[in-house]
Amino acid sequence: MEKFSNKQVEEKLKTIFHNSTDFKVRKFISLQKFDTILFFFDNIVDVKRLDKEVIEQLMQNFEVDDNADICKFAIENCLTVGQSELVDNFDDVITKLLNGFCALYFDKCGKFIVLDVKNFQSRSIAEPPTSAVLKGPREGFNESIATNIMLLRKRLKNNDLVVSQMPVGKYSQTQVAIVYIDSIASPEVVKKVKEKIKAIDIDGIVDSFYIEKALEERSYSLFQQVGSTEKPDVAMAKILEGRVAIVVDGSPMVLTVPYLLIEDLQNSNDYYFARAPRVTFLRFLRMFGILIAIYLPGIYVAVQVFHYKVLPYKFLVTITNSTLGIPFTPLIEILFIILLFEGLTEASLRMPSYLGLALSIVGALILGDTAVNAGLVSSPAVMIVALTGVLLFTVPDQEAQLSILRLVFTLIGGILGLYGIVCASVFLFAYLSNLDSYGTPFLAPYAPNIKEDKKDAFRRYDLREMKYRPKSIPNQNKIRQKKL
Amino acid sequence: MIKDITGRQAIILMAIVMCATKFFVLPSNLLTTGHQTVIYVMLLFFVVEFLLLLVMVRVSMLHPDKTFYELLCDSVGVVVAKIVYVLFFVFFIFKLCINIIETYTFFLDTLYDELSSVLYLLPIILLAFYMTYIGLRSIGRSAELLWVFVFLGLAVALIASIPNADFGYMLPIFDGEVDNAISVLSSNSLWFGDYLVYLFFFGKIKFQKNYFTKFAIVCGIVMAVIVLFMAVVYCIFPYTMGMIHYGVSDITHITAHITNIGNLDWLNTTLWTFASIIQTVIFAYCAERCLSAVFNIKYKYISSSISLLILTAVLFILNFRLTTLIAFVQSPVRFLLPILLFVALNIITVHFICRSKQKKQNRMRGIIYD
Repeated sequence: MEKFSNKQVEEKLKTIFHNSTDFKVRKFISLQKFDTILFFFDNIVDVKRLDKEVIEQLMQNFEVDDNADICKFAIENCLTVGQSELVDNFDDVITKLLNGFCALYFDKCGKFIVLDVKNFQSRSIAEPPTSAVLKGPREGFNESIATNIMLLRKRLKNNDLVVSQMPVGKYSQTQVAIVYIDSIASPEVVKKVKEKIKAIDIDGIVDSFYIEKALEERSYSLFQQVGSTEKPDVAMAKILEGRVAIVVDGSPMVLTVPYLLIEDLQNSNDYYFARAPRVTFLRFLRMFGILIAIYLPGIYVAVQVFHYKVLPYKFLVTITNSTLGIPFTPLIEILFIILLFEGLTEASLRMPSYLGLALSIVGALILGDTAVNAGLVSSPAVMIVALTGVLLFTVPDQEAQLSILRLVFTLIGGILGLYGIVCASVFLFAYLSNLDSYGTPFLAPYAPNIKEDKKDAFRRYDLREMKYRPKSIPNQNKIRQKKL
Repeated sequence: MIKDITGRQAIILMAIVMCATKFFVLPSNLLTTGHQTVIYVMLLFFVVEFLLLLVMVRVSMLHPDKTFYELLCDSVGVVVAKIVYVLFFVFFIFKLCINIIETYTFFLDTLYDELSSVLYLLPIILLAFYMTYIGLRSIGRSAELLWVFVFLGLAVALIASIPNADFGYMLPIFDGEVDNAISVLSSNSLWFGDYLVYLFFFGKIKFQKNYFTKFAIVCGIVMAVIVLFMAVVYCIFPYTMGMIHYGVSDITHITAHITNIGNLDWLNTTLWTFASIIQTVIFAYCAERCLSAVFNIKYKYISSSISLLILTAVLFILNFRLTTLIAFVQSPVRFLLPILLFVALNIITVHFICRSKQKKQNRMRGIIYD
């Protein structure tokens, strides 16, 4: 870099930042003889630290040799900021300034001293609303990448824990960190993740979801192929199994790859207080919930339209009585209620919380009850949709996908009956078994069958039994524990 | 060579393929005129089939990286290999016809008042296209998940019906109608020979520990279950076999009436459909492989589309009538496929074993074998 004067540097940087009003310039004489200029962005730096650790220190009376390297002298003798470095090109200075550093320039020096005095405000560490636990750690990630990495480092105090950070986004320059344990994670997976993130060419990363789409091997798929968590303990457990975590600045959701479908059936509570048999029961219950949620409306419609003969006589009479006089066909009736339910769910998410109670009364009681009384819909149909609506949330992370599947199976049940439902199920299984996430079969450990990994699948074994890391997840270190 | 399926998946696929369509109209076809004797003849036939299957498994283990087509080319030349594969293609198209028409009429009679054949055909053809396109790996994995439903369907059928069967009707073992039984069996030969599917798994299986033993045990059990099922059907309806159309649903249906818990057969029917669909997909896969080998078609979607179009055309020519197909199968043509597929191919299989042994001996003598 040329040895610009202070004035030239000031003009150049102001031009680069288009005279932005929050771009501040402070001129002073440091060490009683050097014309100095300090650049920083207001609001993102800690002004108190700037005063105390930079300006105040440089205004002290030090004896400096005229021939000495003033930048080196200042770093070694005056400045008390922990992280400082010399930068000799404008691009790096710009990046640093935008990331909350201040830049110090001595007249005609040709080098900048950049000092980390950032002060980005963030939410405090709190229990994440999406994954509450009855017993166990309650800390959750927040929107600060520094805090999130700190939460992981706090739990994994090992020199093998690697954090590899890079900026992503042409305008946002969002920091994205890849976190993994070098002695466990597969180098191929780490390499692939890095390549995929480096290949992102986008204006800005608003949330980790933007990175998730880039990480997925089939981004148009209905099913998510990247895990996400708001809890550092969950992220830690996944990293210990050989997965790679991706922390994105500005998002409390930490992503993990590879990802298995079975992960959605697992919950933090399964590991913290419930005994193994209870966990096994709960996981089967969740699976049962999913199946009922997806299939029940479709089977109900199919039975009503095509297979009424299969129903026991009393059951058939009950259904016939309740659907008597309903103006819609069974398929239209159930679709109408599903859409009504989806509409209410969407509205309740967007509605101010103080109106939520009113909405639930209007939606559930008035709309449902009135529709049945008016003879527009039947009671069994309302009950079935309400039941499946609740059961969709036995696996909250998959709720969006499951609700789509429910709709699809309902349509197929109404058009083709049980035969269509069976065909669609086989298609679904085939599709899922064709999905891979970073070399891991999506349906592992069941398809393909991996006996060792089944110890933490539908059935959960005691922790002492889980001697090995999951075989389905590529890793370098197979043994998890010798003996507990 | 990429190993598409694990040993476990190969075993599951074979187990499903071998029994899927044997529980629909076959019991009625065989037992109405063949009576209990046909069951014993079938048992003997299964023993032969079982031994031939084991020979195939052994050959596949001796040549783990070669497909059957490559082995055939090495052994008998490309032209003969292509002729064999054309015959295979015809065989699998007929098997697919039987499978689809049988399942269609089964659904029509048991669960639907009316079901358009086009509406029935469309999903299964699309599914077969998709699954043959994505390959054996996904078919194997899907079967690994779905076998539970198939097993459940069979278990429901057997558990619900065995108490109603009087096994005394299985005696005498041979009542002097062996000739008749063999004739009945040969008339329905297209319902057998499913084990030939295994030839299309050659070179694609990742063999695991004790594969051969596990394979033998599972396939042995499957064959025993088929025989048991036939026996149960016959012993429940010894005098009314002519009125029984679909073994797998009728035995549950009659039981459900007895126990007065509603029509339980629909559950069984639905579960058993999974087996039928997997079998359809596997046959479609085999047909696609045949076409691909004969015409050197590189792209799966092309060979898959062509084979499924041919299948659709044949189905429409047959007008979805099982009787037309059975009439065709019962014509003198019926001897062609058994001779070609059951005998000739197994002679070739034995040839491979001899060749492999010769190779081994040559290696031991220090002769470099090409």
